[in-house]
Amino acid sequence: MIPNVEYLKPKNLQEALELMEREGSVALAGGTDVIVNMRDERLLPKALIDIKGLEELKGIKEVPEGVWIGALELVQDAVENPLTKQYTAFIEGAGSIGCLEIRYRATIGGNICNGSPSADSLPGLLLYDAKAVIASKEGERTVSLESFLLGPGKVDLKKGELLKAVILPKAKEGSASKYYRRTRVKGMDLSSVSVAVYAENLGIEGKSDIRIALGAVMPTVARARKGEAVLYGQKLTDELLDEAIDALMEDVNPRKGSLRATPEYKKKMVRVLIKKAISEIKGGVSCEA
Amino acid sequence: MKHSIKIRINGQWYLGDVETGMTLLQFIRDEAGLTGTKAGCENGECGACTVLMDGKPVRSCIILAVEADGSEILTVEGLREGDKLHPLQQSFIETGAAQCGFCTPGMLIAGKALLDKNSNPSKEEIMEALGGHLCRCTGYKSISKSVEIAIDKIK
Repeated sequence: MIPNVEYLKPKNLQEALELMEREGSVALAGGTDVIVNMRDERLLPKALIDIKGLEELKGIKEVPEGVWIGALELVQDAVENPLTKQYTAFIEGAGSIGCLEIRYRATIGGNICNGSPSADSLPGLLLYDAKAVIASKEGERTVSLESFLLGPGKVDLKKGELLKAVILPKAKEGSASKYYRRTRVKGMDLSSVSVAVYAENLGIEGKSDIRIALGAVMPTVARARKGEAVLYGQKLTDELLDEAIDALMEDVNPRKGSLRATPEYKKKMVRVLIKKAISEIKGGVSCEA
Repeated sequence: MKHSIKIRINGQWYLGDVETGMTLLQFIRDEAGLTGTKAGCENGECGACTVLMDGKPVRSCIILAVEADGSEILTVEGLREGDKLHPLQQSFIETGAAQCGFCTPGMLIAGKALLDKNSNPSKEEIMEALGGHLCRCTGYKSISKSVEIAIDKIK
């Protein structure tokens, strides 16, 4: 049973932000997490604020910094939009969420604000240093998307705030990225572990920039900066890659008791999937999943 | 607090005063009396409750009826064209793709959504369209085959 809480549908952003200031207000977008959580009594809002009518939070457009994606953009629409095409790891990640019916309903903003450590849209966004645009009655603030993620189920939204959009900075020419995840079953499963890798001037001394983002192995999706630092500007060798992965493992502490995979498995897969992604970007054999 | 809503299902308007907690699935089955759409997991995972909402396939068990106010819904009852079954329905019968039948309405709607978007989908695209639907009987082969046969019929 879903509780019969108050349901309000504001017509514009200003009205919505006023409603979000009230104690116990929860924003409702696609509802693919919110409704499920309410039915499971994990979420008990006083009022549901249905934000689907807010035009201010919709659309995908080019802006001077890169590509602006409205928080209410449907996952499938974001995946199919020509402007996001160059952000491969983002498309592959977002395109692996749930199933087609879920992606036609779920929103990019919802996947982010749900704050799941295994959110599939996030690793690809973090690789490109995406920004979060947050709206409140006082105006807008922009923060790095990585710092917006505070912990499992927790994002940096204060009472009265809504995530308005994410901005993907321009992808550098010649850069490439890749997303891999592991699940227990092929369809309709959450990631047991996920890895996204970005590379620019891969392995060219003085220029090489390799970025790694990990999902479902830390309290939030996050960049693996200790590993990135080892690789930065260096010629890429198998030994150096292992050294980088050893370094990033210091921050990889998957919790025990996960329903989906053991910490040992997750750690092994982090290593395997990073190598797989780099080999793919280097022009190796294309691998599925 | 009740909400006065109207939803157009298979071309006919249905009006109702609903509580927030009523799902679109409950509205379709209990208020409109259209029981073709099935309640499976009621958690958005199995696909049995799939309907087209404004042309897109969605899970009616995780959408509130009040959210669907003003929308256009197509359920399995609205698939047939006049007296004739939809080619998908025909091919499901011919292939034996319905065994217990519980997943069938959702499968048919997913197939319809695919064909509306793409009249000549690849095997991969068929699998993607059906990928979020659980079937405990068939092993899926006859279902994907039925969609392929329906594509040929429509051509």
